[in-house]
Amino acid sequence: MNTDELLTKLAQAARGDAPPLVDVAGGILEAIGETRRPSNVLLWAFTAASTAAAAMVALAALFQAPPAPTDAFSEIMRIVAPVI
Amino acid sequence: MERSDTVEIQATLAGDATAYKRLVEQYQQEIARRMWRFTRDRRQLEELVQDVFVDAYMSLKSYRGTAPFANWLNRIATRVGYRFWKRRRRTTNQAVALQDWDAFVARDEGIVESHEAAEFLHSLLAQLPPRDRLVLTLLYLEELSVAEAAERSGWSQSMVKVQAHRARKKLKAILEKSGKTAIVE
Repeated sequence: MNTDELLTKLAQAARGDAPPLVDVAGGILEAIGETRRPSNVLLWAFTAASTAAAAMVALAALFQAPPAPTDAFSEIMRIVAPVI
Repeated sequence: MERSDTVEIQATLAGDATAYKRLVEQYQQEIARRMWRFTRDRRQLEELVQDVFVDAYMSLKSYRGTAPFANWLNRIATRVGYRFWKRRRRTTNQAVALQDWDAFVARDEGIVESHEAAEFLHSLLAQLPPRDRLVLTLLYLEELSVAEAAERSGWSQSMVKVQAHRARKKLKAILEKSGKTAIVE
């Protein structure tokens, strides 16, 4: 007997095998709700994180120290450096 | 597709959840028959059937209605079952369980109960990687043609043929390694 014949024989013998009765209809709407919930949680988490990051950037910009004053020599060098 | 299916699908998409419940009631036993190929455990069977209908609900908008709804559901069922095997294979290391082999091959077909044969075939195919197991399940247990198996699995027909050839070779090697010499090719 080769593998093809063996599998055919087994499958033929198993033909009448039936599963037990199942009933998932009653809980299907809850199961769908459960599956959807994590995506909402992720959406809220992403929104909260984005808002917090934006607030931090705004605060950092608000409290950023003013640029340091420059002396006249440095200012002249900044202008003439590309030329020389 | 039956007209009632079209009506129920449209009602579901329009937000009528009880319409989907009616579709589940109509097809759950057929899907259970498919998923019975993927597990022999009653609790897992219910979970798999539920997963199929949850997946189907989530992608119901993509159902174009060109093929019967049952065919579309069967494709999802195959995907869910295959995913289940892949997940299980990562978490459990199934031992070779061929102790019933000698007793089985010695018996006449008429004596073997169908559930016994199904159990044996299930444990035999469980020795294989999920891809091999899937192709043999579709071709032998589901008794699909190569074209139908390709359509169900999403593979090309030549892929199904190659995969089936490899799977049979692997099965033969497993049986020979276990000392089951009834296989000769």
